[in-house]
Amino acid sequence: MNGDDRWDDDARAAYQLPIEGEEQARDRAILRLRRESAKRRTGMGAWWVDPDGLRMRPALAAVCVLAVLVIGAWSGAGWMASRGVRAPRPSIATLPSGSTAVTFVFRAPGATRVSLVGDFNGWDPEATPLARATTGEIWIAQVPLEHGLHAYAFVIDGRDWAPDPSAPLAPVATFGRRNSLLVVGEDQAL
Amino acid sequence: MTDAELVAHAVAGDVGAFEGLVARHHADCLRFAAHMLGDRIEAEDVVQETLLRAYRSLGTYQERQQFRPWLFRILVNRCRTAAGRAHARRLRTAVELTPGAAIVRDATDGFELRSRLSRAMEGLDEVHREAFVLKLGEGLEYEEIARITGASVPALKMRVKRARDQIRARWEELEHDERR
Repeated sequence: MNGDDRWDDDARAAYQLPIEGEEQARDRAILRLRRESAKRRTGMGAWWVDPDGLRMRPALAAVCVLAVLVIGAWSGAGWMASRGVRAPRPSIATLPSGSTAVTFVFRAPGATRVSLVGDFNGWDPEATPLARATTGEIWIAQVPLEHGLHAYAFVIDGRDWAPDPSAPLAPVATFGRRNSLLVVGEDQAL
Repeated sequence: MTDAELVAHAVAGDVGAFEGLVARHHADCLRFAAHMLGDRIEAEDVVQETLLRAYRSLGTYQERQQFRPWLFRILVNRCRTAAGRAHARRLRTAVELTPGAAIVRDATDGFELRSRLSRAMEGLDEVHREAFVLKLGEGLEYEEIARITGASVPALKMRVKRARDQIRARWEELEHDERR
């Protein structure tokens, strides 16, 4: 190897050193892309055009999610009551506008902040923070959602994404992450 | 899955497929923009704009093209626009940026090398910097660089040679100073 080649190798190695914070920058780029995509879907008015690679018949998803929501809300309320936490009741309430108020409950021991991300808020971790319940481990948010199928996840301390353990997962991972599924409909009642 | 397959899925409306392309190419784009602009934050903005523009333009993408050069053509244009803005800002404020400080420090020995490269590239004009980074940094063929930049292959070879000579001379001066 001559001196020119060696210098080229050194310069190339210097150039190719990873840029600090690249992964976070990539995540931010993907969030912005998802917002863009969500805007497009809203424009088309087709909620079943899956935002995240979802491959499930909406009717089947509706049945599955409704069943899990009923069980999850019932058991979650019992768990919280046993620890002195006031359960959010009702978990789902139909609003006059046709949208529905959905209460999300998530247990995150040791977290300093938890937020909700989904197709309904452009996957923005700053948009929908959860409030900490008095026990400290339970986090709650109530969000009005339009009727239809929604994908969502929780973000812990602005960094770690986690699906909802009480809800079914989207069958296809998006960017290595599995999101949870939720169907909100006019005929739902708890 | 290849880039072409991911593009085909993305064109069909699968945003997850486009995210796969972002995951695959974001680091290269950010690195290129950071070295072109000398500003990590501005580089991130430019890369986001590039990816959004690419996403919106997927309908114009031709299957015979390769995705990476197509994406880099958009990126190069965004960097040129951003560099023009930055130049105008500098003229207005008379504040010189410090390229060495713009590419963020690693907690490794790599900092020394990167800092040296960044400082050695100071003062290099945009077209020479662009040719050097695409050729030596990204390892693209001259024909690809010609398609990306719109310059001819002979002109690019000349630019790379001049840039390389200038950067290497400055690099060796810096290396000498560091040893003293």
